Amino acid sequence: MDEQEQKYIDGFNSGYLLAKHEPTLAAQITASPNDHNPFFSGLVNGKSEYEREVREWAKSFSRGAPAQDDRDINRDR
Amino acid sequence: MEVICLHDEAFYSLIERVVERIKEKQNNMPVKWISGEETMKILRITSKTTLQKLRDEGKIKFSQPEKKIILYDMESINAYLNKHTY
Repeated sequence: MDEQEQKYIDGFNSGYLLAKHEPTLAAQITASPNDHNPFFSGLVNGKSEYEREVREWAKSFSRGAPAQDDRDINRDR
Repeated sequence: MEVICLHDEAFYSLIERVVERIKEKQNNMPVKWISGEETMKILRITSKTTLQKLRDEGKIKFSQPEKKIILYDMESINAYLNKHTY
C-alpha cells in the first residue's frame, strides 16, 4: 500500500467517524471541496458512506420490519 | 463569514486530534475501514479471487467509494472470523 492510499484510508475513517459523532462539524469541514488531497477525498467519501448507511437503515426500518413487533404488542393488550 | 487559511499539515493534524478525541470518548474504538491488503492478511488468504468471492457472497461488508478503491469493514471481518473459528 502506498502513502497516498494510506492517507485516503485515514481520511475515510476520519470522515466516517466525524459524520457519526460530529455530523455538523463533518459537514462544515467537507463544505469546501479539495479533490487534490487524498486525505480530504477520503474524508468526504467516509462521511458519505456513513450517511448512505443511515439512509439504508432508515429505509429498512420504514419497510415495515418492526410492524410485526407492533402487531404482537397489540395482540397482548 | 471569515475564511481562515491553514497550512494543509496543520489542517489535517487538527482533524486527527478531533478524531482522536472522539475515539477516546468512545473507549478507543478500533479502525473501522481497512484496505484489501490488510483484510487478506487478517483472513490469512493470499488470493484476490477468494477475497472477491467473500465480497460477492456478502460474507464481509465492504465499501467502494471510488472505482479502484475497495475498503473492508473490520467489524464484519471479525464477525466472519468468529463464525469460522472452532
